[in-house]
Formats: sequence, C-alpha cells, structure tokens
Amino acid sequence: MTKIPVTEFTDDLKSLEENTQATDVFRLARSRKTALKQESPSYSGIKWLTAGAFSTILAFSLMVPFDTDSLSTDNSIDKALHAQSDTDESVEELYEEDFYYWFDIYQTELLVSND
Amino acid sequence: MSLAYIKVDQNISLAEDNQSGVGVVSIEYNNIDQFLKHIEKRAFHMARLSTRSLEDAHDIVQESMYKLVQKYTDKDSSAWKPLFYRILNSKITDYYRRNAVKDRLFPWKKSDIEDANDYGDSILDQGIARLSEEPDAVMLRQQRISKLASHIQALPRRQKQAFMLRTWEGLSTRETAKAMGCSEGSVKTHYSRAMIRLRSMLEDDYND
Repeated sequence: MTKIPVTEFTDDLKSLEENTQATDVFRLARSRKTALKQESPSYSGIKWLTAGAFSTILAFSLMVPFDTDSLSTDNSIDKALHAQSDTDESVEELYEEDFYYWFDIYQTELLVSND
Repeated sequence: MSLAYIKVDQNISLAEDNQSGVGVVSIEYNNIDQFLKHIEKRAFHMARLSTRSLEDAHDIVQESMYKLVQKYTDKDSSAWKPLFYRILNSKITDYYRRNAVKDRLFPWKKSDIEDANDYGDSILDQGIARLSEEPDAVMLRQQRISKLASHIQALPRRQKQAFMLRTWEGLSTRETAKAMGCSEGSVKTHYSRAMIRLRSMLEDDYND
C-alpha cells in the first residue's frame, strides 16, 4: 500500500476552506463582530425556545379555572349607583312612612265621623 | 491580512513532529480580531464535520469566539489557538451530550443532521477549482475532497479531532493535547489510528 503523504490531505482540506460558501463567510464575519463587541450571541433555535415558553404559559393559563366572583371591581360608577340605590330606598321608606301616617290620621277621622 | 511576522518554530514543533511529516508554522497575531479572521473558516468546517449540521456548526463557532474574547483576550497571542480549539471541542462535546439526551427523551424525533453525502454534495456544488486546472482534474479533485470529508465525518470523535488539529490546523502534539484535554500519548494514538483508517479508505482516490 502506497502511503498517502499528509500534505495531500492538508492541501485538499485547505481547498475546502478556501472555497467556503459566501453565505457562510458572511455569517462567520457577523459572529466574529458579535463576539468582539461582546453582544449576546444569537442562536438559531432561540425563537423555538421563546415560542415553546409562550405556548406553555398560554396552555397553563387556559387550564386554570377562571373565577369571576373573586374579581374585585374597583368601579367608582358601581359604587355611586350602589350608594344611589341606598338613597332611593331610604327615600322610598320615608314616603311610605308619610303615607301610613296620613292613612292613620284618615282612618281616625273616619272613625270619629262615624261615631 | 496584516501579520506581525510569520515564524517557523524549528526548535520545538518541527523537530518533534518530523517523523509524522507534519510541518508546523506558528503565526503571531497583532490582535484577536486578526486571529479569529484567520481561523474562522477552518473552525466552521471542523464543527460542521463533527456535528453534521450547518446551523449547529455556526452556533458552536459563534459561542466559541464569544467565550474566547470574553475570557482570554488578555492572554498571550500564542495561547489563543489551543485555547480556542479547546473551547470549540468542549462545545462539540456538549452538542453530542445534548443530542444523546434528546434522542433518549424523544426517540421518534431524529436530530436534524445532514448525511455524509450531503456535505460531500455541497462540496461538489462549490466548484473547487484552481487556476489552469483541466476540467476533468477539477472534477476528480472535487470527488476526492468530497470523499475525504465523508470519511473524516465517519471517524470516531477523538480521532477526528486529533486528525483535524494536527493535519488541518497544523498544531503540534503538545498544542493538540492542550486543545483536546488529553495526554500527548493519547494524541499520537488517536492521530495514528485516524491516518491508518483514512489512508486505507482513500488509497485508490489519492494514488491515481
């Protein structure tokens, strides 16, 4: 067996290196600049991680039962309406008292006149 | 590319590796940017041959560059090369471990790896040619390089690392041992086995 010289392998590997595709050369230059600036490296799979994390949060939020009663609404309009309804009730009670007072007098006068 | 100077280290590197026939040239770099520009393509191809994935190869090279600049800019420029390849090999090892766990957890989902033929085909598509080379010689050389790449991909991991660092990068046995995190004896063993295997597989292609 004829021994293949190491230099033959080296030459061919160097050819491979010299003929790196332009897109790869561009990406390597960008990686080098990122490394020199010490910016966070971007990964080709980071968007999948983000999508996965988002999907997990969404799925979890849909699985947990949503209790509307426990919600506390700090609605000033609701409070005002509630206060108003209280006021209306008290006004109604007042009117009823007047009515029964008048009714009581009316009945007493009737009784007196019948006597 | 402007360099401070090119120095052939005859005292240590060449004397040590004379038997294997590997010529070692040590290059001094003015700054880390020059160094990264010099080795980025080689590192990319090494990562691609190791991972069989274009995207993962880019990610690994980017991470390795980032870590080297982050941690070792202050070191002597002669230390950058073995340090960089140490980081690169660690990242490749991490890649293998992650894939092994992923394949175990999701056996129905195969990792997105390119076939050895895919890389070989991409080399053929690149049209590697030299000036004044005949078309049939170009074709033969492309096919030979494609086969070489395929067989390197098929080597066991440690043999692959030793072969690429010694033959392609031109590191000495000592520097290769530092980069691989093993002894010089181990490097010699891995390298020797890789050479025997490649020579037997590619004998016909290189002896035309």
